[in-house]
Amino acid sequence: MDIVFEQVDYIYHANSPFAQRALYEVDLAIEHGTFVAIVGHTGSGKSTLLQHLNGLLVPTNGKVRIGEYTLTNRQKQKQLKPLRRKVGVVFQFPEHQLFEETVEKDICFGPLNFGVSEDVAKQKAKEALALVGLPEQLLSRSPFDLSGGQMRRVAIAGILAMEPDVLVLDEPTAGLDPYGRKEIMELFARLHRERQLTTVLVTHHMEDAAKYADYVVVMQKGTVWKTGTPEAIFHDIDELQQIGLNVPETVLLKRKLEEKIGREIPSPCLTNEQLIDGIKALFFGGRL
Amino acid sequence: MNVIIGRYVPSNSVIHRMDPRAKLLAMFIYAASVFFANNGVTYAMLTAFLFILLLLLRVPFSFILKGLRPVLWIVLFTFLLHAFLTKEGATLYQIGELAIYEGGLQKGVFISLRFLLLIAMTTWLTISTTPVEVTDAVESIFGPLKRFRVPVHELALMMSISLRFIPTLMEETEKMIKAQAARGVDFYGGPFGERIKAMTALLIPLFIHAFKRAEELAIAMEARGYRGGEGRTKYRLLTWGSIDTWLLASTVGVTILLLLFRA
Ligand SMILES: Nc1ncnc2c1ncn2[C@@H]1O[C@H](COP(=O)(O)OP(=O)(O)OP(=O)(O)O)[C@@H](O)[C@H]1O
Ligand SMILES: [Mg+2]
Repeated sequence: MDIVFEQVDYIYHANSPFAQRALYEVDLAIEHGTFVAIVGHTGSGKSTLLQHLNGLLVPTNGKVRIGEYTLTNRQKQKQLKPLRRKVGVVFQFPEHQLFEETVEKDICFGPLNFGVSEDVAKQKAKEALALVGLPEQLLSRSPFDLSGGQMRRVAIAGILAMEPDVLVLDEPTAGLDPYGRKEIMELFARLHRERQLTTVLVTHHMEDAAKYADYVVVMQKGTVWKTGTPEAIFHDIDELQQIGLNVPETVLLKRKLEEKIGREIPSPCLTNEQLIDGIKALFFGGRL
Repeated sequence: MNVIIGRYVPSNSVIHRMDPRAKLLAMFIYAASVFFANNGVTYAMLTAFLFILLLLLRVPFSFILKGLRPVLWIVLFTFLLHAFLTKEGATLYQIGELAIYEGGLQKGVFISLRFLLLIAMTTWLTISTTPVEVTDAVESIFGPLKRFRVPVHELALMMSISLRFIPTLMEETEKMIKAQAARGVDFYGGPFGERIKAMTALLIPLFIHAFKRAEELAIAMEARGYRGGEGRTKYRLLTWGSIDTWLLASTVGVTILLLLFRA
């Protein structure tokens, strides 16, 4: 499903003394099947933007089009269920939404709400649990007896079991250990490929944005500041640092290296592998 | 969230800057005197006084009215109940079995006005006074009771903690509604069974969180050496100024006038 934002404003608590503008004239187009990373300083409106993707928020002004759905400020909450089946949202700290007695029931909750039969839901729960890398024995356990990382995975499995076309992820790896983070990100990358999903990821890890995304959207104070491929976005280090963002470690390392040796390393160097290739090419003329 | 009852609205008005003790006492006196009003003059006096207090808040009046809208239904209901069920005075209107009497109409107006005045006065306090200020005021006003071993400080602390966490809970509720709506929960309709299910999906995680948070808070407080009010100094000191005396005096003045003019 293609996603298009047209001049979207969003104001929290509009028409009250608590009114707070979170999005200003956002224009954005996400093509079907792309992996988009949204980055930006805290409070720049990333989560607000995400919640427009399945109609949890509707624009105060402007339009959001998602496939055949168009959301404007006249939207009725009741008509949004079909959209929500197609757009799965994993919130920041999704483990907070667990509530059932068993892991299995919790994962089945989403699919059952969308009218899947009990047997099919159970089957999907089993598959989803395997996808997030947890053993099947956990199905009958209470979600509250699990570790934080396991709870996170169960919550993610709960969304995956809905088999959405668009996967929306709000900092899904915040607070996970580095190994767990890599595992989860690899899972999303794999699902993106295998299920031909459209994936929208909010992250503070520029390494993840660089590694997994086709496009990077940089948010700044409620507006889209810049969009482009990771190469283009992470090219200008100083500019990004001015708005309080970082660039992947390897990009910094590359710059330091270049300053030291006084020569330029060809290739973009967004990931470790690319940097290694670049260094190899420079020193050994690609002969190694 | 359009409910403004119990919500603080920042501003720099005279009322906002007053000593919370003065405002709290004024509210209590006013609330008590509302129950003594029993004729047109006394109700008019109370309404006028409150109107002035609300104007001094420097918060848009339309905003206050809008915030009161949810309770208007209760007020209306109270009015209708009294209007139809009181059989006093001359008959004004007769529709079949139902009749409206003059006494009923009057009683309906008075009772619902009383209700409205009480709510508006409480709103006046909470709009202009942060929960922490209210608690400080409560602790200060009831301070003398400590001598009779009433745990005033602890009660005030409980009050301030509960008040402190109301916005947090509301925020979490909002987040949880969104998270579960994303999983297909329909909070806006559906059959009864599904509504119950929606409520469980909302309340269970909220409760679990609240309990966890309470435990963490207790640990954090103990870790920082909290052990009750003994010898504890205050960061915010309450200062009583002449304006506070004026507020209290005028409230008492209105009450005295009211007692003179009541039927
Ligand atoms: N429920 C709300 N009520 C009022 N204002 C809000 C609410 N949620 C967010 N805001 C405001 O909207 C702005 C954007 O918030 P948002 O949560 O979208 O930021 P974010 O980019 O996701 O930040 P973070 O990286 O910290 O998650 C902020 O200024 C915030 O204070
Ligand atoms: Mg966020």
